[in-house]
Amino acid sequence: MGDAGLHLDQKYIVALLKNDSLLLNEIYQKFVPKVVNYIKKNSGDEARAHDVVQDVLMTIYDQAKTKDLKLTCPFDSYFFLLCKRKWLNELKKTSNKGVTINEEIVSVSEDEQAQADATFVFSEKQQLFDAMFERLGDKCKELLKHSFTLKSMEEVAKKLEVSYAYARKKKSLCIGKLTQLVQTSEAYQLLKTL
Amino acid sequence: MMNEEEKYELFDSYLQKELSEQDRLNFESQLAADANLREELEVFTAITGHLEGKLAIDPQRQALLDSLTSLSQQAQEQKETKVIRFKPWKFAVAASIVLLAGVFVFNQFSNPSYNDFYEPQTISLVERGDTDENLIAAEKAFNAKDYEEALRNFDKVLVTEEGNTEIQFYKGIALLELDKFQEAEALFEVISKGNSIFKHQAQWQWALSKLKQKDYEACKKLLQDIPADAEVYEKAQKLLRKL
Repeated sequence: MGDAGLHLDQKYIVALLKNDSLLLNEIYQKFVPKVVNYIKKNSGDEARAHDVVQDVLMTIYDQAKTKDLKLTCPFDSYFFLLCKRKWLNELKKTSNKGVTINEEIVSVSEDEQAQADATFVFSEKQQLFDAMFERLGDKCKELLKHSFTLKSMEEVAKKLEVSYAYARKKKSLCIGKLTQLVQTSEAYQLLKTL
Repeated sequence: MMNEEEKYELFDSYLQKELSEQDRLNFESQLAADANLREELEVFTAITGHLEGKLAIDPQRQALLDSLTSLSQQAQEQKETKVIRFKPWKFAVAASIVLLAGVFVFNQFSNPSYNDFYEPQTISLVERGDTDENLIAAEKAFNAKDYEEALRNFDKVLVTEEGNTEIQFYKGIALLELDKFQEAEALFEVISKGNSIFKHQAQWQWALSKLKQKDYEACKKLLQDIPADAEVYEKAQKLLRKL
């Protein structure tokens, strides 16, 4: 489809990738106050609101970087939906009492909801991968760390004093092991239904 | 059937694009026939991508994180000095409506008028827990378009909060509504030369004040000074084109 469906606000996604200070500043002027206001109205404070904002922007960066995020709806509503969801999740985690949400009824288009959902699933998966990575044995963790930081598998082999063939094989097995851990987790089964 | 080890090595070689043409085609036909295998490869690929992003050192990511941290700090410091309780999206909504209306009007008349660009605003100055009666009264009057009453209350608020740019800004708008141009412009001038978040909004309102007085040249000059990164820039350009 090329860039036909791309929204003009894709410039904000590009700004995150390029660390474009002018546009980042614009995000903070135009879109962040609304989020802060919403969180303050819903049992949060300024500092926590800014944590949410930062996490969400970094998630968007990660998704854009690895999955080539193409925005087809306004950044404003996409970003707001993500922050809202993140905040509500945090509220659920920290308070066991029921929380009342002060909601202004805003209409959300299907496209906006779908884009926000996709990023949400992406960030949930990232967290799941991290959690499962911690469950790997130390040998696997070490090998994977080297595999993705050193320039080549030859270097990894040298560093760990094993043969190249063994390093390669071990790497694929460790990722395979991680794949199994992820696929058999409850969280993954849940995410699949989204 | 291949065993687990072979399978993951195959996945890895496939992702590294190291398979021979024949092996690749074989593997892809296996994938086409086996949904479970497809799903597993998908997860394997996603994890590989995630580890690349996560474990590899990404200086760009760190740089972005630094930028965001400093922007957050700035935003919070500004709040503390109580300069801003600004709700830009309200302007954005109002602006888009007015722009539509504006475009419609321009198609029929050649000279832009203040009313084409004037945006009747509702403000929300009072935050939960605020008990300042004058502030509450000011907001109420302003939103009811009773600008005389709003003005009286703004002045009372400003007695205790002299440096509150937000109040000054809305006082300016109230003055402009009442055609008290000199006083309004004096306020807009001060704010537009300051460093608050209302800087460009004030410049815009100042220009509107000139427009209302049909001083098109002065209006133009003020609009030209609104920089491209200002949120009122598009409106300003639109008006400029009509002048």
